[in-house]
Amino acid sequence: MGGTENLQEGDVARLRAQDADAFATLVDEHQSMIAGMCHSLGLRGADIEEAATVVFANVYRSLPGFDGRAGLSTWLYRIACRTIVRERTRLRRHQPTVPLTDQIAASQTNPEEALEAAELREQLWAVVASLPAREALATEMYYRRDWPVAKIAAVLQCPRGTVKTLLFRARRRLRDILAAKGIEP
Amino acid sequence: MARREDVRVDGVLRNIMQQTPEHAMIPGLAERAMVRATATPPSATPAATAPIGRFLVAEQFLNFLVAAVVAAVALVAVDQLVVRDAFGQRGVLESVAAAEQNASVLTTNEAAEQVTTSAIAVILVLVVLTVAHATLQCDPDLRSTHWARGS
Repeated sequence: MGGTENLQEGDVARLRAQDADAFATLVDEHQSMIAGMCHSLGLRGADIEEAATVVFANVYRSLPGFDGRAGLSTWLYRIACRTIVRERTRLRRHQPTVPLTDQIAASQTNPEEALEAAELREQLWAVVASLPAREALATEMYYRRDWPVAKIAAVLQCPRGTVKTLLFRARRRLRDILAAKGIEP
Repeated sequence: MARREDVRVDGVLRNIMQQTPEHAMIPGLAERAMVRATATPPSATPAATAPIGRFLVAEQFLNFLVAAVVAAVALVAVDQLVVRDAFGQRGVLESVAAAEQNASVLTTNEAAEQVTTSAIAVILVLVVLTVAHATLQCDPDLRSTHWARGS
């Protein structure tokens, strides 16, 4: 889950002390994953940057209380999950996203483009964004980041069986999109 | 059989999703975060250890609980202060209770009257519940109070 699992005690101490350089390194290491989590929950463009800023602000503020019971990155992603879910509610309230049906309808006006991989991805991600938060986050971690179920369970703080159930539900929805596109595994 | 199909679907989904381009690095993110952290009160930080699922369930339950209490108080207040005056005799809640007790001895006209009264009561409850729920959904501070509690 990132290089921060192997941090030396000194690095952790610097982070706990809210050292600016150590924090900048932490941000650089994890901002791609945080942006991916935002994306999976339906945020786009400037909303991702805003949500990521709030996530890392919460992380920075919580660093002195990091007790090391979980790995640093696991701890960080737990904060990220809750923060992004909350930010999504706030940001969507101000900037309503395009409904999924409109996006699909728009893409179907040009059948050639609809077959392109980028558009298929966008449709899949649009479906992911419409899933309940934990299903969307589990999808990001499992399919895009290739994390094992145990790690996902640690971040979402639920049993492995629950993660499998979340993935089962997400897979069922995503398989419909693949079938509609004529992609039969 | 179904399991083998799931594995194939997983493979296809992985293949497609892992080709998703990464978001560009956000310049100055660490600095912005530090500035935001010092500018925002600590109470706005969600608890670091509470599971997200339990948090969401707790949030929804609390919303519902508060909405129900607000609705109940509002309903009784409206019934006592507005409807009682309008009907001249008794409020909707009392009318409904009386209708239930006297259901077996009502004439057709009385029954129709009681049905109308009951319909007004149901509409009133729905309106109050809707307003209470909408109020909670639109107030970010109210929604975030229990997030801050664990921090």
